[in-house]
Amino acid sequence: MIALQCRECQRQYPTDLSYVCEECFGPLDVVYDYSKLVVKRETFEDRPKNLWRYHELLPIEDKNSIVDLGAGYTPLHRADRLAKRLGLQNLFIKNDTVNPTYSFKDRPASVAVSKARELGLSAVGSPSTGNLASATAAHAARAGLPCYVFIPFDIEPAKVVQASTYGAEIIAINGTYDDANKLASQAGELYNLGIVNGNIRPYYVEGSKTLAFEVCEQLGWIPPDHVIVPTGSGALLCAIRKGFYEFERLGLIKSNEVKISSAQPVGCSPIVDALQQGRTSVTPVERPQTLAKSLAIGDPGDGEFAVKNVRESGGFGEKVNDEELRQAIHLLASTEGIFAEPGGVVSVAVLSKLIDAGRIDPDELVVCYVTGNGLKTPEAISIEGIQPAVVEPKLEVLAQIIRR
Amino acid sequence: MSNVKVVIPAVMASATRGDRVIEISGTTVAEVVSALSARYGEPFQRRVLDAEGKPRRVLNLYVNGKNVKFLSDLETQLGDGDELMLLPAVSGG
Ligand SMILES: Cc1ncc(COP(=O)(O)O)c(C=O)c1O
Ligand SMILES: [Zn+2]
Repeated sequence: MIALQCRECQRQYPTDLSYVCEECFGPLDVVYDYSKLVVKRETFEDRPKNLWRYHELLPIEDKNSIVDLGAGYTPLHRADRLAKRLGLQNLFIKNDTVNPTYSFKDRPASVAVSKARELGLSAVGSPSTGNLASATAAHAARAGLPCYVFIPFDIEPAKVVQASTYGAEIIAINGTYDDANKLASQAGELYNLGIVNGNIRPYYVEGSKTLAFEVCEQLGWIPPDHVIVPTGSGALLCAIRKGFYEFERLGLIKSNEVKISSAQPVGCSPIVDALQQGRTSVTPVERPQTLAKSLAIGDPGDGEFAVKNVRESGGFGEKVNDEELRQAIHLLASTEGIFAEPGGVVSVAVLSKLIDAGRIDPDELVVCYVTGNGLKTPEAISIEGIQPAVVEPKLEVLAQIIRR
Repeated sequence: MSNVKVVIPAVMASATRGDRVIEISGTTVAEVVSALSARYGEPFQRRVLDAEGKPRRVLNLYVNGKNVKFLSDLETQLGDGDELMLLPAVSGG
């Protein structure tokens, strides 16, 4: 890492606790001197199986700052049974439901809390739609730092239980994610908190690039043709694009023509709507309404940048309703053995829709990012039809049940 | 004319010569924004407004805590004692 650089005016800043350009208020991103980075495919061979295997491309200077719970290097499943159901030949699921706190958010949280430690901050926090709350809280616990999370009051109960058990102070806001986000931003400044996706955001987003790195490495250093990304604020999608770019830039993959598609739920789809309506600007949603609560971000911070990234890559935006999300949860679980939450499985639901619309060639190598675990949102599955009938422990009753 | 309080976060105080709490008057957000650009001149204008004189998309404006995108944008009315706050428009969920 050499500097922070403004996305709008390219002015550079030292790598400290800044996140907004003084000159133009644009967001700052981490830049590296790629010509000085010596990494080869073999560099990573004997490294630990977590995201820190790519530490040269992560913004931490001193390895002693690293706060690690083992996030990353999650399985890439070849999903032949699901592929067959959908009519594809080369489908993979990047199963990020099995991170330490059961969502992809452990990746950016691990990097952000490490950076908070490196910068000498004495407490951290985050506004969250649910998953980042636990990811921040768990890494803060591991680092011995107090943690404050700001959540909309109506997120799934399991996520609140999880985050508070890690010892975080939960601030449940009577409002939306955008309200929580605004309050967290003010609190960060007033109480000198490291807000992982606020004043530490430039570093935070770097963690999510590893979702692109791993997919390349796990496919034998061949990038996929097309990836589908669950999208809320757009930060994850932009980070994934940067990840593919960096691997190409460093010569680790031959070329980067990965199409990146954005998946959002109906009821909170400002990025997909801009893509579908050919707009560059994103119109915020005041009151998101969706089963995929983790994606209920009405005013996405990286919205316009995400739209640009999808367009430049040749990908699409598509949205699905609650019923399509429930079906996708069942389909993925019953064909591939992966149990996801609505916000994490929206990529699979969107894939199915894109195939129906003829936008995916059957032989394209497609990767669906599945980013959150189903155990976090049991209420998303309708209970009827799932509760088994209670039977006596007698062999005879099985004749009715096991038909083979 | 209403008397309005404008609140600027530390990271944006480069636009207002370090001022963080500003008393100013105007009846709409647009009026207050143009009064601010008259007071702070080019450094303010360049950072806060685009070529058409609209607030740039890298920042959000809040009136009494509510994003003006969900009110009437620049035409949002301001009364005596109302608070207009600027914040950078960044974050991930
Ligand atoms: C499970 C899950 N997937 C995807 C996302 C989207 O990430 P981003 O806000 O970076 O677009 C989130 C959180 O917002 C999430 O919780
Ligand atoms: Zn700038």
